[in-house]
Amino acid sequence: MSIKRLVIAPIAVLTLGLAACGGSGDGATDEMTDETTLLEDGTEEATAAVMVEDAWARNSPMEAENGAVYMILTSEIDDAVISADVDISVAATAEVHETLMNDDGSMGMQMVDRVELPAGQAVAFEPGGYHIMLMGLISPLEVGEIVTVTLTLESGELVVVDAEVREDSM
Amino acid sequence: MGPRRVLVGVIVGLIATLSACGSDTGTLVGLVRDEPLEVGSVSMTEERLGLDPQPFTFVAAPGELLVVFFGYTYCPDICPTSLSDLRAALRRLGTDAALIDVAFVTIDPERDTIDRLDAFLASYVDRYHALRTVDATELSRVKDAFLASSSVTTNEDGQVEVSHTATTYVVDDTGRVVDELPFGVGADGMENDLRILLATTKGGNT
Repeated sequence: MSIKRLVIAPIAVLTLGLAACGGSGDGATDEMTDETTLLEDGTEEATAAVMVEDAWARNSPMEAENGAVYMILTSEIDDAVISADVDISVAATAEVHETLMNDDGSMGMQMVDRVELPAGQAVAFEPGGYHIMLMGLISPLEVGEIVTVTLTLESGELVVVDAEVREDSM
Repeated sequence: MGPRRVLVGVIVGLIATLSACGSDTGTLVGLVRDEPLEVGSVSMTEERLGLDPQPFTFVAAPGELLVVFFGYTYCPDICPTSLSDLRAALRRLGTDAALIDVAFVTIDPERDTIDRLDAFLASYVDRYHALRTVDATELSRVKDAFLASSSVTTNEDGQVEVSHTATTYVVDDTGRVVDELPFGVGADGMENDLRILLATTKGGNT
């Protein structure tokens, strides 16, 4: 009995000590390492680090066949969006589109081959302009769900965009 | 294309500035013609789900306003944006929203069946008229009255390409287009103009 208790006590202390170290020390170190790695990748290897902000898709009516995803992209280097992809569980295909005003004042859409991302410049995909068009929605886009589209950049980088489905832009 | 995009941006920016400054007695952000378009004599058949078709005339009920759009349900960008903006504007108008009726004319009647059109509109507004005709002449007559244009073509890849006037028209109870809101004025612009127009329409000119 007494021997057992003696053995248990040191183990308990040891565990406590480890837990205390792990709680603050390890976590903080991990985060810092991640950030540093990201920065080094972006600057030294010149991999396109692209910042994605305010990614959203408008919720679609029951009968809507198509949807659109919007976002703001800022690339660290001169790059371009050359194509978009979406999981087939969401929509049949995704294309990069632009809404333009015609000479008669009417508005139409067209597929675009590329959207320039000049280094450090925020490029908006927004209603009435560039958007990722989701064609052939499998089911309506419901408010609160996340739609993931993958953008292919000219540099070869893939940018995964998680867009929140909302009623309106914020 | 480039300069045009910029121009649209400038106009939208200007409108946003105007609407930010505007109060209830402020100015309309939409276009007001010296000689307003008269659309009160224009009519088309309104198909109704489960009900007999009835003639629809582009005039608001007395003391009310009629908001008119041209669009199509496959539209991913322009139409949902305009209708969402209207929905937001109507919510802000509160009980006065009951005085706003909506007419949506499909410019893609081949693909927009009345079922599709009805469900599409119902997801945005409570009160609406789904207007559809497969008679190209009849559709042209309506578009001409609003000076609107549209085209539906199929490209070499078999994709349907659609373009259409993205203006939001506001018609009063005399059949006059009293306001033409360009795309991009947003919910703020729509709310601003509908408030001003309702103030002059409610119980006003008879």
